[in-house]
Amino acid sequence: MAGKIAVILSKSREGLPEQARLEKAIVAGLGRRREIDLVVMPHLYDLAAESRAVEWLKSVGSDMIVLAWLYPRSAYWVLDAHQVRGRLGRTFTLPDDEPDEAAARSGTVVPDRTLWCCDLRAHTEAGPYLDQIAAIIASTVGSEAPAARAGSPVEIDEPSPPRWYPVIDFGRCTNCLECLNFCLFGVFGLDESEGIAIDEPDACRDGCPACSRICPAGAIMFPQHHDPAIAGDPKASKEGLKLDLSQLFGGVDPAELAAAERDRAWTQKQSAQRQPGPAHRETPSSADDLDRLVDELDDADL
Amino acid sequence: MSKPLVFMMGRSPTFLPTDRMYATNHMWALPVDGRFRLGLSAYAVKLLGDLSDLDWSIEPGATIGKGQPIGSIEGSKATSELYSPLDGRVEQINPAAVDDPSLINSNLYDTGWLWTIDGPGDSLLSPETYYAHLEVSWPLAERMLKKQAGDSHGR
Repeated sequence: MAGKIAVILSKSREGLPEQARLEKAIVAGLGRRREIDLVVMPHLYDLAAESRAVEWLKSVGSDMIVLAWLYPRSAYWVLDAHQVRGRLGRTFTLPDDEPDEAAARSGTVVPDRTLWCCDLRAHTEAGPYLDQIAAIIASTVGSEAPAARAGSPVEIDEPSPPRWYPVIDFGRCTNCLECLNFCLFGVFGLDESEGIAIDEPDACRDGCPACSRICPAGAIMFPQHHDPAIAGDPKASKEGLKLDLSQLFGGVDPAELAAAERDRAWTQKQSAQRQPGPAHRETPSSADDLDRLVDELDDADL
Repeated sequence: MSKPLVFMMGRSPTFLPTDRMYATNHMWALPVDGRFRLGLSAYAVKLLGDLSDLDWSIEPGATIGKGQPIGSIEGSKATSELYSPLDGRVEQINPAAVDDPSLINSNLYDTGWLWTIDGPGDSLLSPETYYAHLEVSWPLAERMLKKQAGDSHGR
């Protein structure tokens, strides 16, 4: 008998009503299934290395189904960063063209088990997730329902302030060390076998995805970035990460560039005036972001 | 040869040899046997980063016009379409740069040349004029790049 499957429901960071509703419906839908151990925990990406949730994840020896507000690829490599490893299982939220092989840096032991990572952003209703979980249970535990009694869902409720750090896809990483040379904040380091490692994740500059852009293999993810190519969507083109200089290299007259820039600024101003509420509130924060980025690009010697 | 001009991109110096002409699209042009041999200026190469791909959409013998797309280039920091800075007839494409675009990084003003064109070249700039062009266009380029990077910047 295959034993129980751990089902992890990683809660959303924002806790929007729609998200809370889906999470609740999944917990309710799983009810008291005897084939699973259901654990509800804070957002996977925000978990600190020494948190109780990570401690629990590391203690699990069985297959796992991880429901998180992340691309499956991001969730899988976030788990890997916490030394929680296995094969990446195929689910309806995992595109067909993504490898489901265990991919890891050389020298890493990958246990013989499967981690099914489901992206909770793929569907607003609980049905598809419950069906997926039922299908996984059927294919692994089979009809031999474990004799153990059904337990209640366990909630690991601990403070998990939002974090921002790079997550490496070791299936793609070529260990070229561009990121190590590029990062100004000492986030990256080398492990004992000279492989790239995230030494100081929390030294990362909040909001800065620059190492993801310079990675030639597209192996660095920032799961909370709004650009899918940076957040870990394997369908998004890596090309989108690079700057396009065609406008500069077209020999355009600087005066034309300036005029275009002015026109854009004018249009933005007009639309901001039409929508006074949110646009005005957002202005200071995006201006701060831009200032920060300006500093970073200057430092990066572009 | 007289000393190259040095244009500062932020804190980073870029060298502009004074033995040749330049174009506003950041190519250099060196008269060789009555034709112009063209390559990328240090300014362009610095923006692109380590070059990995060079593709041509033109062939020797083709007659092309100024501003016409001729190919594309990809570096570690950025990609770009390439455009002809001159009217004329394409004479040669440097096979060594296609085979190994890193040659452009290592030897951009010499063996890392890109192509040659037979044409009048009357719109080319002197090194001093190109330097003045960079003084105007660099701040605009910086703003444009920062905006592009900012558009895909984190929440």
